[in-house]
Amino acid sequence: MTAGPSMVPVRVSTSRARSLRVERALQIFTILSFAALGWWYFSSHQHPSANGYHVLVTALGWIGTGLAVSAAALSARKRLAYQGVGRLSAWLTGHIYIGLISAAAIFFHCGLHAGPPLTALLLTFFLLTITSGVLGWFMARRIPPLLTAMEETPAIAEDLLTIRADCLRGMLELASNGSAEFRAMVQLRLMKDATSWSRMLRFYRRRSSLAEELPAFHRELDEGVAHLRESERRAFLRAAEYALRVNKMNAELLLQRLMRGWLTLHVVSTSGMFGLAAIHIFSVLYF
Amino acid sequence: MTLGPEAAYAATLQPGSFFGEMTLISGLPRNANVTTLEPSLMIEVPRRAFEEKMKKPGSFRDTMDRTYIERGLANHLRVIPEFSHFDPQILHELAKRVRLRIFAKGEVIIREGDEADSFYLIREGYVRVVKAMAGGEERTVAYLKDGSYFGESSLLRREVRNATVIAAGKVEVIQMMKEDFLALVTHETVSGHLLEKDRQRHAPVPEERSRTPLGFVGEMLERGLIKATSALVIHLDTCTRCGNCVKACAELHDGISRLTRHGMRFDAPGPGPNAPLEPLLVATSCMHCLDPECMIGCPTGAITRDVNGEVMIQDSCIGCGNCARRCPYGNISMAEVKSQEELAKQRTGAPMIGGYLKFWRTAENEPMMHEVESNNQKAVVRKIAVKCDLCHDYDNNHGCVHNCPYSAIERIDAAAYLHQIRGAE
Repeated sequence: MTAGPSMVPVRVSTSRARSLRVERALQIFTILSFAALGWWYFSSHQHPSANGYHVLVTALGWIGTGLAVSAAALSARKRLAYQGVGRLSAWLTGHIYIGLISAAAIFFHCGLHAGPPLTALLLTFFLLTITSGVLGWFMARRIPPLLTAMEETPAIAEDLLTIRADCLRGMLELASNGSAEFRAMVQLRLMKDATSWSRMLRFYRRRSSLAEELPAFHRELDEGVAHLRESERRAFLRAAEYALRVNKMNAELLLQRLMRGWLTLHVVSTSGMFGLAAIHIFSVLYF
Repeated sequence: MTLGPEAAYAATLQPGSFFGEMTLISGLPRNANVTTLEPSLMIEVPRRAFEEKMKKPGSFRDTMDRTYIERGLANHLRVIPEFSHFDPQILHELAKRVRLRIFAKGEVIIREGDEADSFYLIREGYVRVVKAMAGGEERTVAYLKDGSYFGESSLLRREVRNATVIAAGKVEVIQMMKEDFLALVTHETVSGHLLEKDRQRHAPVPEERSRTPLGFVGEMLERGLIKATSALVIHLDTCTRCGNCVKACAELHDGISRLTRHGMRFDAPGPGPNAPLEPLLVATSCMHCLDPECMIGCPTGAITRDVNGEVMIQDSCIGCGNCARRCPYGNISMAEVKSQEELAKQRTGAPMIGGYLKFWRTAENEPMMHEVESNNQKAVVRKIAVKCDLCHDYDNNHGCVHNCPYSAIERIDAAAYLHQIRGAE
């Protein structure tokens, strides 16, 4: 039987609201942790003693290392698509805030004293890790709205490469069917436009889509193609659309690569930091 | 027979009675529980056989149609607050006098300026309320959904219709003629409710209320999203296009992703009253519609609805592709059944170690055949229909949602979502 309201449970997702609540809690926890670490550090410096200072610095070092290792567990979670290990977004949020507390602990542990070459290198890798992480966080917030304004439908880099290859093929096909002058115009003008940085920047600056940019581009080209035969003129404008699409794909690809590129730097610097930290701990404990 | 989550008593069926016909006719989920009071012998008619019988005119179809209308009306009137206080016998009598009318999308149900002759209750679907403005321009002023009613205002005020009501999709309405309606409003409870509603509808619209995003509601209705009970929505301004959702889906479903990041784009109102519009993408993934068109005409009855109302494809799929052709959103695809080794190869980029050593064909490295037992005929298929199963095998913890690092993806019930943003009254 069926009538009126059904027995199907109503599903309104609460995942975003929940993750916002978790993030808010972690923000408060991070601020409190910063305050606690700072208070510990500065209160120890008010009553300095050789033994107390050593205990403080060593403890901060161990806390920082422990937290950094916990934050790095995100890497293991990323390799598990299966359920039962929590939401990846929760892991990432945890990674960010634990990473920040770890950075504070390590900063109080060593300050900005570079020391001997090994610790100087360790400090460099530590700063690189923090900087790349902050950069990634910033880009993950800034780039998606820009991409949304530009793209027709969301696509990953692999899709963009395929579309770009198709457009280039289409452009070259049109060129191969035309006269020598037509081919030269495609090669000299449109290929330049397809890879033009200034045109790419225009997409970013105006946050415009292809449909918005195309009429203006056609108008730009109109004068130069007035002397062509009607069929070639139409073919040239079609090739121009391909060229502009290639340029837009390049613009989107660059943004997507920026969103992935920082991760390489982050992972490499983190690995280096852990390697050097292991040597540093070993040398402190045994030498 | 009991109705609703409170298991309210509805009826006791005697030998010779039947039940379950309404969900087969409407395609909507079941909303009644039927429990045996004593050992009973029943005949189960599969969906396919029922549909075949309903295609032919005759006493079976007539009986089913008549029962559908009577039971539907009685149930509907029972759940509307204004009518719920009535004695079931009065409702039963009323059900005999009213008419069930079905309107197709875009059909005008009542027109502004016409003489008012009846009152309407929306049984299923959405309607658009349109008013003519000063310049002659027509403007949508509200959307009403099932459970709402219209047409009472002009009957109560004895005026001509003050708005045009248009079906926003397929709509089933209960039409009550003027005389029956006026006889009914003499009842204290009904008249109190209706007069209060009438007063609210004629009250000036407060500033906050006027921000109701009717354009967005209309778009959702126009594009059929309103049917979705579990649409996969991506918040484009948060999505970093990492592809984790698609990868996780493939990983959890034998290497075949059941979602693609293409589909309808909407600019949805943000959470607060002054929040900017938020671009959303309804990804190509099963929306588990309220009345799934894919279920119609499945030769083996492989598409079913589970106890939670989710639409599932069972192992008896023979790969005919009927459902994939019927789905209006293109959310069902036909996928080749793959062997375990092919799946491992797809996942890891290389076959399992044993795969390199096998130069002969054995049952183990032969592409897996999907065996189907249907009507006592054993068929072997290489393609089956696949669609989002809401990660049924993983405790309904959706892989796509769980593996998005930025919480950019979520599943929503469209009607509840609309209610949340106050788009529909």
